[in-house]
Amino acid sequence: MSDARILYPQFRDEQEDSRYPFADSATLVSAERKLDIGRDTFFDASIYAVGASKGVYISSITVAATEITIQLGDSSTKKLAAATFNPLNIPDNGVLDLIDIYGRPAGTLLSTAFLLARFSAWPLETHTFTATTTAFVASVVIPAQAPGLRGVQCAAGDLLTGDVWLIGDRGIVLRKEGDDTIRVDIVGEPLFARHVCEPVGKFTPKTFLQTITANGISCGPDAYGNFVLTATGHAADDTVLRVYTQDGNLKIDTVGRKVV
Amino acid sequence: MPRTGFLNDNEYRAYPFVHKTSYAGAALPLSAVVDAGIIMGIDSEFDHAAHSVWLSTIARVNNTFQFTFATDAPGADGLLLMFVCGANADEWTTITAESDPVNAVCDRPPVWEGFLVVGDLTALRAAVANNTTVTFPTKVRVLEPGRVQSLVKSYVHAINVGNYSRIMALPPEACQNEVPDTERTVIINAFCMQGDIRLKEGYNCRIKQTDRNNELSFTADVNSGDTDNTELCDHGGEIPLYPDEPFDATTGFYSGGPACNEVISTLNGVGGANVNIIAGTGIKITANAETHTVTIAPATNNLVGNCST
Repeated sequence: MSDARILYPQFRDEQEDSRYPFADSATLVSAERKLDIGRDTFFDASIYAVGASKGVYISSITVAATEITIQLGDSSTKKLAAATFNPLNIPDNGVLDLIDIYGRPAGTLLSTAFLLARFSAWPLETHTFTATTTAFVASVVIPAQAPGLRGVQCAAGDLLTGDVWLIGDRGIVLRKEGDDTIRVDIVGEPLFARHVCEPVGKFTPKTFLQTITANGISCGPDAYGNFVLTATGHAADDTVLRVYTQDGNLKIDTVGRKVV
Repeated sequence: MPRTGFLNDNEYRAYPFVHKTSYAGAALPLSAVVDAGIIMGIDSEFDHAAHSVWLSTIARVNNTFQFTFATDAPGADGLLLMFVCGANADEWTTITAESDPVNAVCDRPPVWEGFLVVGDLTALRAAVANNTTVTFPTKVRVLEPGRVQSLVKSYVHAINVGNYSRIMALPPEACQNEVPDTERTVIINAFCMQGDIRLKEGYNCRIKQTDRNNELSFTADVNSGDTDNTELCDHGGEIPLYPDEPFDATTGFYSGGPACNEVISTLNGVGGANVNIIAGTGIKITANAETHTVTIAPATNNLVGNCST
């Protein structure tokens, strides 16, 4: 029997025999059924969930027929970030992406497809862990506190990050005021209602009657939008021409009767 | 019993690269790189499940070593990360590097950046002659996934402000027949606002801040917010979308078109979408739609007929 030993094992091989990336005190045993994650299941981790506080740990492992979710928590929440994989289609490289509740990258858990398959044998339920049984060592938790604005979330639930555009529409106008102020005005848009009611996809501008031209002279409406057509002078009694309304129409007529 | 340190261990193993039983391409002395860490920036579009970082080349130029890393993250396409150190650098020398930003506007951060720790470079000096470059195949010397941190979607870099272009009463002449409903343009009002940004109530606007759940709610409320209506009334209830936006000189409207009192809405008090002008006895009315002309003339024949009867 050879007593040779590897002086400098590869990184992953070295971690197989240690609890790393978990703390030395971590038992890795679930609360309900006392199931053991196994010290060799994970080789490495890199956890940088935004806003993570002290004591990041695996808070639960939920096993379903086609989905296994490893949930991470910390001292303030049990749902800090999670990694999900399909036990029937485990990633070949054994890398599990951690995603936080807003869909942001929160780190990685490093294992192998073979080792991750052991969770398939666990009962189909949620297995919980206490903070001490699955605590990660501090060196794999990269502080990512949340100063400043980390995201803008809309009522629909979408989290906006990076370069965020605030755009006014339908009569809401957004304007920069000074160096650091965004002013919000709600003033309506006169033509918007007509725009959305157009039966086709294009807004067809209307051409309004603004003036009436007679003998080269153009006249517009009065202050109330009314235009008056008259038969010469109203008081003239020597004309047969009459302009009057009749049944909602404008009638131009002549009056008189037979002499004989 | 004394134990060797972490960096010392790494001089004799593949770390920080993923260990494989064999590597395609050129050999890399294990002692050359003993640690590394990469931060993929907010513009990198990096996804741990699909992308990785690998050592692409080592060049020895003018008595320096240039370690160049590549990635297949879409946002870092064509952007390499080069760490430079002296060819005789001490063990455990730490080098930092950052890529260019994706563009130069709005004070953008590097697409990716990182650090590299070199070990004993004796073997590397023997393997790479001066003024030569060793190239490693794509995705062969891949960094351990745990050495890569992604900042994608992790923070708000800047706020930009704009408004959808207003609906014009009369579109520009060239666009009379092309006013698309679905492709409205955004008019930029402010670009790249950073730092502490305030939101201010303007006309008819009420902003409610709820600290308990970090919520801002915006409500339309008549006469809330700014009550100085001077700017609003100067332009018929419209306000500019950007400084110096042109308006109709006659009406003051930014959206153009006639004012209500410029439109003939009734004829002799008769209104409606259409007003019918009816010819009575002795009157003949003709209309020409092309010339927008209504001709009202006496119907002489009719008058003669009446008089002779």
